[in-house]
Parts: sequence; C-alpha cells; structure tokens
Amino acid sequence: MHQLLPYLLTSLLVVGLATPLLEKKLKYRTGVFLSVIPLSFFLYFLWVFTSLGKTESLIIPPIMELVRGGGLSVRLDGLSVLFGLMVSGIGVLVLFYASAYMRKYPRQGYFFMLLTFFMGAMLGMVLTNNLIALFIFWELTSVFSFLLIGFDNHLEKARKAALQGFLITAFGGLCLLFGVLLIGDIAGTYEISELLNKGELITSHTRYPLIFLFLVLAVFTKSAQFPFHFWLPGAMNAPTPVSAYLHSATMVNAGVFLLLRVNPFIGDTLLWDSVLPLFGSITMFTGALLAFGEKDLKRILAFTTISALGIMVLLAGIDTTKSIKAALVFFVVHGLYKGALFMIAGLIDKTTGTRDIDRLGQLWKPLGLVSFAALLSFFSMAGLPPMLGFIGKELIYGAKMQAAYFSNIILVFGILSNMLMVGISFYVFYQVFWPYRRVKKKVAIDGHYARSFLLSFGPVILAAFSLGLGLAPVRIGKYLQNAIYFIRAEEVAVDLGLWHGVNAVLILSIITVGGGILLFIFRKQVAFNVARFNNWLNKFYLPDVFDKVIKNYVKVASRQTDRIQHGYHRYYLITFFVITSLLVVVHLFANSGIAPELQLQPIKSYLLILFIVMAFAAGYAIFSSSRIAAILALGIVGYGIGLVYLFFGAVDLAITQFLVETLVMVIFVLVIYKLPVFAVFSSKASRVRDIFIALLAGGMMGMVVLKSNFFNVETPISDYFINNSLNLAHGKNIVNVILVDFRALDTMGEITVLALAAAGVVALLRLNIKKRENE
Amino acid sequence: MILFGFIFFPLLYIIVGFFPFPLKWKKVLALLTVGGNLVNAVNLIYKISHVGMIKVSPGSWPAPFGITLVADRMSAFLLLITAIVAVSIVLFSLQSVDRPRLERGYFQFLFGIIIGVNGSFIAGDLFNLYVWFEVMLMASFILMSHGGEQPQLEGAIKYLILNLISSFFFVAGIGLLYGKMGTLNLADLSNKISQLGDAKVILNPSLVLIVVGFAIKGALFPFFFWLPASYHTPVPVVSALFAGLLTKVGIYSLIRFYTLILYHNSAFWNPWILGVGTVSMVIGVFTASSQFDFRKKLSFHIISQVGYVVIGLGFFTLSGLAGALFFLGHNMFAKTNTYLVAGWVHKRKGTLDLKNLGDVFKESPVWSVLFIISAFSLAGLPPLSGFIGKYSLIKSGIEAHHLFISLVALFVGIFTLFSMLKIWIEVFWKPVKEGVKSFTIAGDERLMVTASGILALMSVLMGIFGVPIIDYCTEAAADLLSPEKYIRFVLNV
Repeated sequence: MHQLLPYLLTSLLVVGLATPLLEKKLKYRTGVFLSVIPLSFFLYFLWVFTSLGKTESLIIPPIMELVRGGGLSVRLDGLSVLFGLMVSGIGVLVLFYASAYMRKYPRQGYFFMLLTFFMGAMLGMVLTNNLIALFIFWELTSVFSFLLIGFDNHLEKARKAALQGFLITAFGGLCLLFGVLLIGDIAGTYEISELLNKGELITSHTRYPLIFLFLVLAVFTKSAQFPFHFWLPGAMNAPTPVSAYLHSATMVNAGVFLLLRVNPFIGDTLLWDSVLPLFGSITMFTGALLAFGEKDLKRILAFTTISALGIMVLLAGIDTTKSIKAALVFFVVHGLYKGALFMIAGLIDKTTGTRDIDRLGQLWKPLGLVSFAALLSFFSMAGLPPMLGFIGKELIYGAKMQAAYFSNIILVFGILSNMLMVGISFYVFYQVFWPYRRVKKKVAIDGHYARSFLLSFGPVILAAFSLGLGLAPVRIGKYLQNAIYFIRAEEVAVDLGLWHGVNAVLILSIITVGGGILLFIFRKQVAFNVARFNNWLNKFYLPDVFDKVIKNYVKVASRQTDRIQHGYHRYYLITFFVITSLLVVVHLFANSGIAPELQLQPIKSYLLILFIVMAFAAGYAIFSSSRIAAILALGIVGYGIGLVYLFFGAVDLAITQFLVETLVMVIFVLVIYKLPVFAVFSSKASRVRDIFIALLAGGMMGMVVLKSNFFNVETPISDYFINNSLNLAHGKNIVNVILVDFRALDTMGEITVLALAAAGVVALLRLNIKKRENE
Repeated sequence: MILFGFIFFPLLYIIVGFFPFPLKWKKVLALLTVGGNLVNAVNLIYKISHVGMIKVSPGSWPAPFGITLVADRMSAFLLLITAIVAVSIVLFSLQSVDRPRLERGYFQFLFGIIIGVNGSFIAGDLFNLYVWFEVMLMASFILMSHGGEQPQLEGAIKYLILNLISSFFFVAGIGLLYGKMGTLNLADLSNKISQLGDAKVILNPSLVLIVVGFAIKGALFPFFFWLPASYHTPVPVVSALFAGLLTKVGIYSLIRFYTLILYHNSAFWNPWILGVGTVSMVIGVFTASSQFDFRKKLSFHIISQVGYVVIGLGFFTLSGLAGALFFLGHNMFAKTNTYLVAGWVHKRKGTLDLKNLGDVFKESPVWSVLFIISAFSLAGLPPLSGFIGKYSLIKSGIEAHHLFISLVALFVGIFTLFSMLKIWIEVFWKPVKEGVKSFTIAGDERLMVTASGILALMSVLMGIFGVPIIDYCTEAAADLLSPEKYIRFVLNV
C-alpha cells in the first residue's frame, strides 16, 4: 500500500492534465469531484499513523530519479504526515470552496488543473525524503503559484504581483538548490534519512556558513520574512480560494517546513540560534503592526500571515524541544484559522462586493453560521481559550522564554505582537460582524452567496477543528511526538492542554489579552496612527521599490547594451582585430625565449624591386582619391603576389592568382560605374586610428607567419603525397591529385559552396519581396 | 558508411533541388531527406553506444594523409539532436514560409546548413572542418538575405563580414599550424603536439587565431556582435534554425579542439575559457533584459547559454563536460522552439514587438503551453531539460571548487527567468493595447504545431529521462577526457 504512494503522487499529474476535459463534463462540480483526491490522501495519512510508532519513520524507495541521487523517495514521519494532513485536508475544503467561488469565471478547467498541480507539488514537497526532490517540488510550487496569482491575467496588478512573487521565490529556490548541492558535496548524499546523523559533519565544515546563508535565503523568500515579505500581500491578487490555500497550508509554509526538515543536520549552531530568531521577531512584529493600518480584509489577513510566519521562523530558530513543539502546534493553529478567515473574506467579497472593513458592517445576522465560524477563528487568532490558538500561544510564550539569545527582547516583541493580534481580531470582527455597530450606509447583500453551502462549508469545518482540537488537543499529540523525535532526536511525552495551572505563561497571556483589549478600545487612534505610519512607509513601499529596481535595471541594461551592441560595424571590426592581434602579439613576445632564432637569408635583388613596387602600389591605393586608380594599384599588388609565387616555383598558385586578380579587377571596374561619387566621410582622427589598427593586425600576421617559417618539427604529410601521387593515385600533377583524390571531400565541400552561391545569387536577384509594413 | 549518410542525404537534395520539379515534390523530398537523416542518426547513436567510435576514410587514404570522418559519442549525440531539430524545422517551414521563397531554393539552402553542421560534427580533420564551416556560412548567408527585405540585407551584411573574419582567422591559424606541425588530422596533431614538450607554447599564436575563429562562430564574449545584429532579421523559422544549430557548431568545435589540442597547455587556456564563459553568461542575460523584441531578447540569450556550455568545458572534469554536452543538446531543442513560437506569433500578429503584442494565451492555449515549456526549460526550472543541464553544470562547478563561477551560473538563471517571464507576460498574458490593429491570418497550422510539439516534447523527455541521458553524456565526456583513445582509434596505432 505504501509503495503505491509515489505512483499516487505522479498520478496527480495525469489527473491535473485531465481536468480541462473533466470540466467540460462536470462544469462547476469539477472542484467537488476533484476533492476526492486530497480526501483520500487525508484518510491515508490518518491511517498511516495508526501503524507508525512514536519513533518510527517509513521510507519508500524512489520509483525514478530525475538526476543521479535525486530520486522521488518518500518519507513518512510525524512532520510529513502533519503537514500532509493540513495540505490535503485544507485542500479538500479549498476545492469545495473553489467550485462555488469560481463558478462565473472563464477557464475553470485550467484553474483546477493548476490547483491540482499545485497541491501535488506541495504534497510531494512535504513527503519526499530527498533534498533534490524537495527542491524540485519547491520550485514547482513557485511555478504554479505564479500561474495562479496571475490567473486574472487581464489585470495589470495580478501580472505584476505574479512576476514579483515568482522572481523572489525563484531566487530563493536557486539559493535552496545551491545550499542543497553544497550539503550533498559535503555529505555525499541527498537522502534526508541518511543526512540525519551527519549534522556534525556539515555544521563543522568550513562551508557551513555558506550553506546556512543560502538555506536561510530560501526560507526567508518563500516564507515572506522581512525584508522579503512584500511579495505576499501582492499575492492576494489570486482568486480567493488560492489565497486561502497559499496562506494556510501551502506555499509560504514551505519555508517553515524546510527549516524543520533540515534542522537535525543544519540547526543547533550559533548562526541558526541567532539569525532566525532575530529576523523572525522583526517579521512577527512588523506584520502585526502593519496589519492594523490596512482596510482591505484580505490585505489585513495577508499581513497577519506574515506575522505568523515570523513566529514560526522564530520558534524554529530558538531550537529547543519546546519551541519545535510550539512551532508545530502553531502551524496547525494558523492553518486552521487563516484558511477559514480567507474563505470568509472571499465569501464576504462575493456577498457584498467589497472587502473594505469600514464599509462593511453588521454581517452577523445575514451570514448566520459563517459568522459563528468567523468568531471562533478570530478567537483562535487572538489566542483565546478554548481554542487551539490559546494552546499554541501558551506554548509560544513558554518557548520564547527559552531563547538562547536576547530572550527578553524576543519576549517583549512577542507580547506586543500578540497584543496587536488580539486587537486586530477584535477590531476586524467588530467592524465587519458586530450587529450593533452603527454604519453610515448598509452594504447590499447578495443572499445567494451568503447562503451558499459550498462557500460556507470550508470555514465552518475549519472553525470546528480549531475549537475541537482546542478542547481535545491530545489528538495531534502523537504526530508531534514523532515529528519532534526526528527533529530533536529526543523522545518526549507531548501533553497539550488548555489548563496548566497559574504560571508565568498564563500571566503573560492575561497581560496580552488586556493589552489587546486596550488596543481595541483605542482602535481608531491606533489604526489612524498606523495608517499614517504606513503612508510614510509607503514612500519605501517595497513592491514599488522592487518594481523601480527592475525598471532601473532594465534602463541601465539598455543603456549598456546600446554601448556594447552599438550597431557600428566598424567598431565591431576594430574589436575583433585589435583583441585578436593583441592576444597573438602578447604570445609572440611571451614565448620569445623558446622561439627559434630568425635565420634570415639575403634577399634576391629582383624580389626586392618587386616588393618595393608592391609597397608603393599599396600606398597609392590608400591615398588615391580615384576609385579606378586605387583598384588598379591593388591589382598591381595582386599580380605582384602572383609573381612571387612564380619565382618560388608554385606555378599552379601563380596561375590561380592571376586569374582571380583579373576577374576581380573586371568586376570591380564594371561595378564602379554604378557607385556614387567618391567622398570622404571619416574624420582625420579616425583614419589615423585605423592606420594603427591596420598596421597592428598586418604586423601581427606578418610576424606570426615569419616565425612559423622557422619552426618545422615534423615531416609534413605532403611528403606522402609527393611519394604516392604517381604510384598509388596514378596522377602526375600532385596538386590535382590532392584536390580530386587525397582530399576530394574538401573539394566536394567547396563545390557545394560554389553551387549554393550560384543558386543564392539567382535567388537574390529574382526574389525581391517588398518590405512589409510591419517589419 | 553510416557517416557518409550525414553528408549524402542533404547533398542529394541540394543536387535534386536544381531540377525544375514541382514545389509539391520538393516539399515531399525535403521531408524524406530529413527523415532519412533522422533514421541515420538514430542508427548511428545505437551503434556508437555499443562500439564507442566509428570512422571512415573517403577515398580510403589512411589517416593522417587522407581526410578522416570520425564520430564518437559526443558527435552521435549532437547529430541526433540536429536531425530532430531539422525535422521540426522542415515541418514548420512547410506551413510558415511563403511560396516565392520555397520556390527559390529555400530547402536547398536549408540543407546546405544541415550538411555543414553534420559535416562539422564528424570532421576529424581541421581543414575539413573549415570546409564545412564555409558551406554553413554560405548557406546561412543566403538564407539570411533570402527574400531581400531591407532589414534582412542589413543584418546579412554584418553577419557575413564578421563571420568572414572568423573564417579568415581560422584558415590562417590552420595554415600556420600546418606549417609548423605538417599535419591537419586532429588526432595526429594532438599526438605530435604531445611529443613537443615545452616547445609547444610556440604554437600558441596560431592556436589563438583558431580559437578566436571558433569564438566568433560560437558568439562568445567579446566576439558576439554579429549574432544580435542579424538573428532577428530573416524569416522566423530561419532564425530558429540558426539559433538552434549555428553557434552550437562553434562551441562543439571549441570543445573538440580543447580536448584534443588545447588541453596540452591547459594552464594557459583554462582560465581564459572560464573567464570568457562566465562573462558571456552574464553579458548575455544582461543585454537581453533591455530588449523589447521577442526575437532580439532570445538572440541575446544565446550568448548567455553558450557561456554555460563553455564554463562546463572550463571545469574540465568528467561531470563538467557531461553537463556541458547535455546543456548543449538541451539548448538546441529549447532555443529552437522558442524561436518557432516567435515565428508563429509573427505569422499570426504580424509583429514581434512586445509592446504591441498580447492576448495570445486567450487565443491559443496550445501555443502558450508550447512556449512556456521551452521558456521554463531555458530558465532551468525543474523537471525540464534545462534544469538537468544547469544542475549538472553547477554541481560539477562545486565539485571542481569553482564556487564563484557556479554562483554566477546559478544567478544568471534568475535573469533568464526574468526575460522569459517578461515575454510570457507581455505576449501571452497582457491584453492587446487599444488601438493596435491586430490582423490574424488564419490557416492550417497542424504541421507547425507538430514541429513545435516535437521540440517541446524533447525538452520534457530530456528532463524526465535526465539520468540515462546524463549517463550517456558522461561516457562521451570520458572519451573526451582520454584523447589517447581517440588518437589510437583514428591513427590505428
């Protein structure tokens, strides 16, 4: 049965591909139908744990490998099952919710396909036992969330948010890959089960800080930690079911999952225990504070998610048994209430057409059962008994007191953040639901949505779980125990309960609630001031800053590109020649010690005369102002070369040279009459520059040839041609034999060139397509 | 004999193309030719995976005196990929190239390129390699100017002249090398150079000329100017062909030359290769970001992607070379396909300016998927082929202790992604700007979809079957790292 799990995961791909077809048949019921998949995963996870002991894990070998050592092996332990339960469980509800929510949208099949893929990627990520596979799924969640956030691609802000989110998380993904590769390089394996006992090896390695840096960057970008948090509020441009899923159980929680996964072999170091709590605290506080200044329901929730993620990172960083326990519990707490609240926000949006908490009001009665679910979820968010949130908060306070570094500061920030959370919970609930709040203008209510079963099913169930698990928290105890065993390598008895007697933690809780109530009473002032602070902060509004950075980057790039790829042919030529010549010249001088001496021989007088004539002709060609004269002068140079060939006995070459030279001259003379009058366009300076470049290139060539002449180490293959051309190839003219026999293939190639050239000339002359308008 | 096929098939078409057959026959014949080439390539790789190397000497003149055609695992791999790319290019051309062009020898020139590319991959002789370069250059110049539209001619001139310089350096280098070493056969050269001892530095000036020739062909920094100046001008499917094959031949030659000749003096060459590769990677994505034309953006990216291959060569380890080879192959598929999609967009919308495009996702989900597969593959996202390539390269970089270069390679990926997303958002997602007239030319597109589908499928398959393919590339790399095997095989010693 367990062996089937990898196949099940892969089959999600097939199901996903089939959804567009399914959608044609099932219409809006597609989501409900698809929810069978996560439901079966959910039940499977529940069942797995009946057979799994407190310190056991189940590892299923990979069915295939994408790269060597990077197979899709599955690992079932407390951590993966806990996350798997949340991903699949909330997945069911999200699919239910989406069926109703997306009903009027176009391209629903495509939507559900993406959602299925996304779910599959997330499940794969939490289930895998291999870091490479984990990375692959991690990237896939980024890819699919990009497509989901940009689902409303006709809206510019959706496109922008999608791009931003993807670039940031993909950056993090690359960091993760590098970190994983470094780990693999040190440990020699990517299998998590094998890495578990290699912590010492990795953390004491000189590259450990590098590994830590890259992993932390991956976590911070994915889990929206300060200063990378800004992409998350933008991500709410996705359709609400996606936001609900993204925030509660998937995507952003992946970073936290990664921290918990790698903790056994990366954690427990000075870096880990100091950096994570520091950034976690900042994020926790910033998120909570900024949430207070927002008016859009979904944005408020997005900022509270940031705060919650900060708490989870902080807890993972404190890295004690207690804090890990707290992190795990809080993950469940947060997933339950955040999923419910996002769904409710979407429902309200559909019902009333707005998400502005100032315009909304008195929704308690119209929304009925959903209002109650909202109340419970806000209670859980505020950390009030008897919700699971209360247990979570108590654990968090306990854990924070244990922090190795600046525990006092963390505690103070923690209390402040929680006060803010309590305040926000009350504030939002009061604004939106409180039946006795006076509102200027009542919002219109679309009863159809308010009473929709599919829309309210999710939030109600989630709220029920928040309450139920709060009352009977032992239900999740065994998962925690197993998870903690593998993270901390410690067997602990996990007892969760609402009441632990009067202790420091309880007092802190009471203070928090008191502070929260105070904040609620002064909500107007607080919200106003935070909003003002926000406005000031918006000058450095990070999404815009990010945009600006990109725009500037493109601008700089385009300026530099204009400089690099400037379009001036002559400068391209100059670059080519100068660089090559310099490279060659440097070599000529660098190796002068080993190079053979130049053995110069006296030159024959007729050759000397010939050279002088050629030099004069070349000079004349350069300075002549008549084209005909210049060409004739060049002709003299060409014929001169032919004569040189002749003097040295290369009759064939000489004949060829004369022929070619004559032909070229004839063509030139014919063409010249068609050209416009000769004019000088270049400046004097550029001509002087060109002289030097020409001299450099020519001199380089001359010197190389001269030197080569005195360095012959081997008997050339031409000896073989000389010896064999008559008796083996039966030809008296060696050159001909070489051309048509010894190296016939070259000749065939050259003939092909000529044939193509001929055909090309014909084609060019005959085929003159007029310039099209849009070119 | 099997090696002759790679030259014989395209050559046959070129000859037949001169006869005045009806266009329909020519089309069918073109398809048959690429089909035959593909069968031959499949046959070759099957054989090579058993015997390792195959050689043939035209005219039966023994090496090193006659020309030898040699195929090893690397050649077979690239020949197969070329054959697949060629099939899809021909399919796409059938429906996208206008009738006047098809009638005026379009396929002849296309096969001119294929013969050149095939020949280069099996040339065991430096001058023979040069000849194939010339065939390729002539055919590509004609294709680039084929049709004679004004921007085409401008691009073609730059292309021709800068590439002629490459030929000039290359042939000058060959001449000088021959003057010193007295042989042209690569195996023989390698063998003789290894006996030179310290005196081999004397060859460096000639080698520099040859390497510059390859670098120009491969569009490496700082010799890439011809590429962005010309690749956006011809008929889109021609750009696709060029992008897929031409630069890759330069890089292939560099790999071959490095592993046979340059490695003798690797202390000097290695830093250069690494440096050039790294800068090319960076400058390619950097310049690409600034472009607002579909094809130009892709063109600049080619520079970056050949950079990747070159750093793999620079690492000069088993896994590095394997990664480089895989990346080269992956890139031929993915790059060609992105250009093919551009070709379709151009046919549909009449423009490739990102600002005036949009709504393609709404109009054609099929083409959107085809694009996104190849684009994400180029950006290195899993589980597509680009990821495997990039992963292998970066991993081998870490193993070879080139941490900095690996990091550069890693983060160049994010900029590639940025460019690809930019295209995706502007062309596929964005609604068309108001006032931009859109003229949609309907018509049968099935062959075009098939062509692009084949390549997209290849990107997926190379990703999913990454392990066996990388294993094959590793074997190929092992051959490259032990040149004495190649030498012994070619020279029969």
